[in-house]
Amino acid sequence: MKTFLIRLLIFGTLFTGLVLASAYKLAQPGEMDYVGGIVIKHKRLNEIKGPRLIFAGGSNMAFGLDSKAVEEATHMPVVNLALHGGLGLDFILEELKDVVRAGDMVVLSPEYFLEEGRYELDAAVAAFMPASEKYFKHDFYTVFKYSVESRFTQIGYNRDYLMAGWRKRNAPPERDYAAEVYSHKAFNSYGDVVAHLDLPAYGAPKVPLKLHAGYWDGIPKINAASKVLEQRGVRFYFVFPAFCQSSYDNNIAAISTLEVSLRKDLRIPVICRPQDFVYPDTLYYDSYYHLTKTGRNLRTQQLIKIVQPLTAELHAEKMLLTNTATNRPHQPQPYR
Amino acid sequence: MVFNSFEFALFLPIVFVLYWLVAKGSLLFQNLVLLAASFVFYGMWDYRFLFLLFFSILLDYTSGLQIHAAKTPRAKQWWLFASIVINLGFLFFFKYYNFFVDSFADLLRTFGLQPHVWTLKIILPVGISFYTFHGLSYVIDIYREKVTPTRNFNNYALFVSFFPLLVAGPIERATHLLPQIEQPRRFELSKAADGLRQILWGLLKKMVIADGCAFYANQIFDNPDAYSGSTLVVGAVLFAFQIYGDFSGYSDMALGIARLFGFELLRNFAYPYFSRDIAEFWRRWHISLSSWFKDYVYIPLGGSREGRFKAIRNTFIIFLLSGFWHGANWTFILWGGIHALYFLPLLLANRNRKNMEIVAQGRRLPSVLELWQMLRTFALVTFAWIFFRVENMTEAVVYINGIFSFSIMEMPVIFPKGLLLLTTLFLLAEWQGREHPYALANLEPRWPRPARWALYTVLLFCLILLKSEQQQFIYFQF
Repeated sequence: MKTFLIRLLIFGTLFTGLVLASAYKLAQPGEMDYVGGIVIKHKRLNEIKGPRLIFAGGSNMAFGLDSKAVEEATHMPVVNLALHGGLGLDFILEELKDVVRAGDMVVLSPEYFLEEGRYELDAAVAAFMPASEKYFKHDFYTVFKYSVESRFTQIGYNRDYLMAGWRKRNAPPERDYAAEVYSHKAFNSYGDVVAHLDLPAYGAPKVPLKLHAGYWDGIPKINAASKVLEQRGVRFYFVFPAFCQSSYDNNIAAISTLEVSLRKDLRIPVICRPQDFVYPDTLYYDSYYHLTKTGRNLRTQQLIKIVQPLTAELHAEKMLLTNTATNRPHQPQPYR
Repeated sequence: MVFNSFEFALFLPIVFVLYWLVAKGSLLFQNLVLLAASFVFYGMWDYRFLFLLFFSILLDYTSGLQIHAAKTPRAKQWWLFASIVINLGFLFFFKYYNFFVDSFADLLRTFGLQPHVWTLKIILPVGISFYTFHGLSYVIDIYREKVTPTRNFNNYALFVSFFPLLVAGPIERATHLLPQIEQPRRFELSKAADGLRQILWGLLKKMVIADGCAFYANQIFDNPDAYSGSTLVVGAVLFAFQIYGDFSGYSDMALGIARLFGFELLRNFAYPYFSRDIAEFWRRWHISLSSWFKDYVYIPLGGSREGRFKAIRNTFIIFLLSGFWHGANWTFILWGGIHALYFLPLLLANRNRKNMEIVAQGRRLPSVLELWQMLRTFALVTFAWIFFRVENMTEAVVYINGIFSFSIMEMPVIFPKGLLLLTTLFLLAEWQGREHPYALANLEPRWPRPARWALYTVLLFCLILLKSEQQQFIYFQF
């Protein structure tokens, strides 16, 4: 037994040393820098004093919204808070709970069946904005697990980096589009991703995505968040994500089932149909969810059509309140 | 908690230390440590099903003692009957209830009736098919007087719930595992080192080969009508390697983990893709299940000794049952039926026990004939896997139609060269080790320690660098 343990210890020590040496941070994928965009988004959130129209969700909204156009159409200051689906629905909802205030209107657009976030992405966000630590779970066990697993992941990043360097030496590409888009500099001051707008699009992946329909724990999570937002006097709405045609066609049954569950069980209004934001694959930049400039314009116009009556209603209520009750505190109307 | 998880990487050393260092020298405490660990392991899936597991253990433990103590054959039969009915009742309820209700409703609809279907949202308890079969083999063996029931409840509970085999086998027999549980175990360095090696090989099979193949196979099987026949063939081949890497990798890990604690479990795989005919394939694939069906279904039905008609009938029964055991879906039943059809010519020609020895034993390479036989068997098995993988019969028809179309002449759209190269290297390693229980089993006497350690380091780095997105073990759903 003693011999076994000693040998195991020696081998373990040598191997750990090798892993630590190989896990020296040579490079990281662009998305780790891309999530730094949260700083711009929160800066805009804090700059606006009155009620705001906040778009939240994953990268489908980050890539697929022209906030300025929405702002001009709705006469409400817009913030595109959507960043990355990989942060997880919990992160997105916790962030919303933290930033909203009375009078805000929130439009949530998570990707289909969005699940728990990736800790490495959540941690990368926290590196840019330490205050975001409260948006995700980081107990001792999770942090310990991440600190071990991140070493292994880093070795993979280093391999990719070295291989990319080798490829470049053999056939240098003209431009590294991915590096330009997946960076914290990809955003405009509203929080929209704009770095990809004038770049040649890759199109949606050739193999359609397969969604596995089933129970989605996102519904109870959104419902729980909606209670908090309701108490704060916030109007909260759900919209379906932008999705490429081929993947939509491949998942009509799953999406229809989800739509039925959402309309039945969600506490907040679902203000569109899934097909409202389905566009041809050629209008996608590089994934099933990331729209190109043309796709983004189409989606923005569609969103304006959906959101405009709601913001008009909000303006009308505000006018009514201002005209009728001068000294009464603001009492937001229930949104259902 | 799965074997290739971070949680298990913490769990295993804790149990190992408690077992060998804290409970050292006491059989009772060692067994209690393993029993507690097994319940923790299972409870981390879903603690509610611990009650079901406990009830199943209690039922078979009591039935075993009652069968043994019964004075009359009738009383013995009654207890055996009760145990089988209750065990299979639970299995039926959790695994097959909705299948039978839906199938019956479909049948009524074909006659123009509109039945009110009452299906339930049932969660399948992980490992139920495996531990039910453990318990059944125990009571049947007691009834047949092959085994004397144990009076020690802890030992019996450990026999059923021993964590390496609890959720996906191998399906153990009381004659094999119970004596090991009842006897004191001494730590053996070579056994423990061998166990670790087998775990490493199992991890590679699962995380590199199976998960890597799954990535592409899932894409192809998820959209069969979007691909050419040649791509569908690639998908089927990738699935063949996925399921082998997944299940045999899991079995390797189970055997390796058990060996760390001084136990030898039944071998579950013996290089099935190097089989020269279907009969040999079934002697090498999921051996513990095949032998279970042989001992508890095929032979009691008369086997092949009561005439040709009965032999054919019995063959179909066990293959169809084997298919049905895998899941409540007509696709699994058809998969079993196809294998029965493959097996039939061998049975009729009395050639089903022809290839009993290891292929090309003592030689480096197979003969041309052996190579052809292996490729033919692999093609037949891969074709049948299509039915195993698809979700329903419509998808199966689409997939098969796609394969048998002119588009089979086109270049495949999905052809992961790197992965196929890796799979080929893996197959070569398996071929090299085919005369041993697993591919790395013969390292220790032949390779000096520095070379072995260098190899382990390379393999561990392969795990880190080549692992794919983690997929659930396929056999957990059964």
